Amino acid sequence: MGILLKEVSFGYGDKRILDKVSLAVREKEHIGILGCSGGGKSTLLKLLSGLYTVKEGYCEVEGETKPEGIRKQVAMVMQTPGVFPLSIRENITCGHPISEEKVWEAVQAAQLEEWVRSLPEGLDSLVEERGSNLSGGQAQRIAIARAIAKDAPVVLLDEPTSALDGETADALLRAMEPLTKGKTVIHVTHREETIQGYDRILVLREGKLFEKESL
Amino acid sequence: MRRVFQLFQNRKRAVCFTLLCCMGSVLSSLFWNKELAVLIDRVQEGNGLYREGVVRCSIYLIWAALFHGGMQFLSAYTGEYAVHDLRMSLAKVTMKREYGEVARENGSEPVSVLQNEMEDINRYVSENLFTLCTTVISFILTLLFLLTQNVRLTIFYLLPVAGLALYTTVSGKVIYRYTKIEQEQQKKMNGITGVLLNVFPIVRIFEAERLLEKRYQSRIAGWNDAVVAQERVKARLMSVSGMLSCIPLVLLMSAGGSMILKGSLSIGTLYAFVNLSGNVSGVMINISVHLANFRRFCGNLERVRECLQEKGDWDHGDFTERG
Amino acid sequence: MRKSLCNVFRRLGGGCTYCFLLVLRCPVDTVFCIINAVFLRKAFQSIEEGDSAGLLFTCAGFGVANFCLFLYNGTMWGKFAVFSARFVGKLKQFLFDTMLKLPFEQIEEKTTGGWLTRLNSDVTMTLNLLTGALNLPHLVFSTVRIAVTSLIFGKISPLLLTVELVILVPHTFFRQWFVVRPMERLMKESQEKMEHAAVYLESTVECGDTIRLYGAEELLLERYRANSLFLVKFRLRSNIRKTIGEFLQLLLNRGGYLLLFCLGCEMIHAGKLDFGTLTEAFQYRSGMLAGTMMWLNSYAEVRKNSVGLRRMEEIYGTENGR
Repeated sequence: MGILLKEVSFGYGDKRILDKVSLAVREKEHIGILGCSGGGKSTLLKLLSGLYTVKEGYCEVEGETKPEGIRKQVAMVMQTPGVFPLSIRENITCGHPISEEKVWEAVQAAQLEEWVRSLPEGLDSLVEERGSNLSGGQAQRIAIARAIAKDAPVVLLDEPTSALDGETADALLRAMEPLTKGKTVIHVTHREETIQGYDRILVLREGKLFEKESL
Repeated sequence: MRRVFQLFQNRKRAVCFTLLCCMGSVLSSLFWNKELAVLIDRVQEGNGLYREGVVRCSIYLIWAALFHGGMQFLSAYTGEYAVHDLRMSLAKVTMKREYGEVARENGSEPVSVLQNEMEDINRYVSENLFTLCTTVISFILTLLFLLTQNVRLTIFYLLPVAGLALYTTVSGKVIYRYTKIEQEQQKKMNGITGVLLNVFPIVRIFEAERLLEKRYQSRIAGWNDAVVAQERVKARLMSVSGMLSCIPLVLLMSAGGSMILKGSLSIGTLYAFVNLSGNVSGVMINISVHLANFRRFCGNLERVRECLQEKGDWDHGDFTERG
Repeated sequence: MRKSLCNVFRRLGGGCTYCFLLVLRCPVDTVFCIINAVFLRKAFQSIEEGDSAGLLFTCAGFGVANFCLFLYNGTMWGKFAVFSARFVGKLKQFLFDTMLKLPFEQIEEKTTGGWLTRLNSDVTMTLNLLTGALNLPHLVFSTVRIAVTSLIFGKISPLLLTVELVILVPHTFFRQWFVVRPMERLMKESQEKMEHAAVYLESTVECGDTIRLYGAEELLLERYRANSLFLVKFRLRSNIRKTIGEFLQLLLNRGGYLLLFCLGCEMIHAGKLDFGTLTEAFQYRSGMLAGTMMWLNSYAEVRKNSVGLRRMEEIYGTENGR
């Protein structure tokens, strides 16, 4: 089993965001989750990625149940790319010993190669504070390259194209193909067209998860 | 005080060297004055300058300059590294905290602490803390030195200083109260300018210039009254303080002079007393200022501790960076 | 700065009163120095002469002189401060009224922050310039103090004054060019570097999710540590200048004192001077040194605060019109 959630509930103070959510995802299955803003989609992914600790219910990702273990099994691309004021290389490797070859493969797969090669310092070029010297698409591609380089069995996508214009968003979805190929994927979005062709589509509404067909 | 010790936990050796330099600097000053006293007494006896005394003075002079420079550098070194430890401690705690906890809280808190409190701590540690240490060491050593020279004169000139210290503390509190009122009035006055800028088009359309002008006028009047009151009080209290601060010198010269006339004190020793009296009476008079600054520094350390949040870490002395 | 000051006084009036009050206040520091010096001379002379009545009379005279001086100081300070506060109030009102009459396009040209700086910070800077410690008043007081004390010092012994000047003048220039000015620049740079260090901490908060997910804690901590150490070393490098400055200051101050002391003792031995007068000369020397330091610090502050005064002219216009 890739992912298993059993009656997971989560909230901030008295406000309940997720209410007894259960989900079983097979290995290499692609799941799309639809929902409106503030519906708890991002919270669900933060629980699945081990960023939040499950206090009510049971969560297992690739056989791991502890948050530290879960985090090792997961790569994630978020709405905001989260770039550090370090070099492009360090943004991709996050300080882990990843070979030069693998970094370039990730750069290539994320369709960054042409741009990186055009930079005078290539992979060692510095990203400025809050990625101010990058376009939204470039920053998001760096986040994709980082996820590819991690080579985790589970990929979580949290509306990665929501802040981009139509053309850039389409190009980015193409760039994400190598990232999601052969992996267990959960993609949350409020735009259905971005998850067409997925194995299953679910809907998150009022803290509960439904199969789209059952609605 | 515990917080201060924790701040320097990993820098004990540097702190010891800095304090040694402080001590060396104070001792050199005492020896210098002692030597000057001997030189003056010899000249008073009708002898000329003697070479050994001048050479010894020159040695004390170089000694003092070296120790003073050394203290300056070492206090900066110790302070900078202590604050580096503190910065790293803050960064580590921020990094190790649960994501959920970080996401719920105000994310800019550690950054604001880094920029404000840490900068204040850094400035105090490198510019004031060791100066305060030197002042304290200087106070103790000078007092001991003066007592060894003449107990009666030392006690006689220091007795009224306690009253002076009390006066400075009380007047400082009074001035602070007036300053706070002035700051509040200034805040109110500045608020109006903010309002004007936000509603400028409305002011123009509805011709509300007169209304705002009147309101501003009344705020300025309020601020003016506060400043005038503050300055008047400051002028009176500080003038009295200036006048009272002459008392130790008068007592020193009158009592010391009488002792010389009776033959129980030499003129050189009285000169050394005049030179060194400030090291003791100055500290006593300004004790409230030193304490207020030190309390503010401790307050900043406490704010950083609150930000570190992992109270256990701090309380178990794990305040500084572990490499 | 002089033009800007004249401009603001011309528009609001009160320039003559300000100068008059400044002149009335300026002798206090100098007179205090003279009273101290004369007191020490007379007291030591009385002691040398074995005149106990003279000694007590001198002490009483010193007390009375100080009482009168501080009474005068308190009165003048109060008057000066009240005038200055009222003047700044007038200036604020004037600026506000001028702003209310400005065309809307001109208001739109600047950000709200920019206007608030003009109306609040710049006026506070002007208040500091006119009345604050180590500003325009102290610049005037220290000038008077240096001039008077060096004159009296020179009158006591031209030789001692010459020796002191030979040490003081090069030292002051060296200190200004080697320590004070570079330190101002280095402090500014250090502030910028501190802000840079804050960027790393900011990213640990802003990108907290990415850091934890990809295990980038160690990388960022390492970078932060390197940056913090760089900041430490940068500040220590700039501190070397300060250390050399402090070392030289003590060496030259006390060295000068020792030299003057030796010369003075030789003069006493030769019967050209008495000990009381030598002590008096040292008081004037201290007055000169303290005056010089005060002058330099006040000059730096005046330069800094006059920026606020000049910036305000953007609202009410310069002397030659807008």
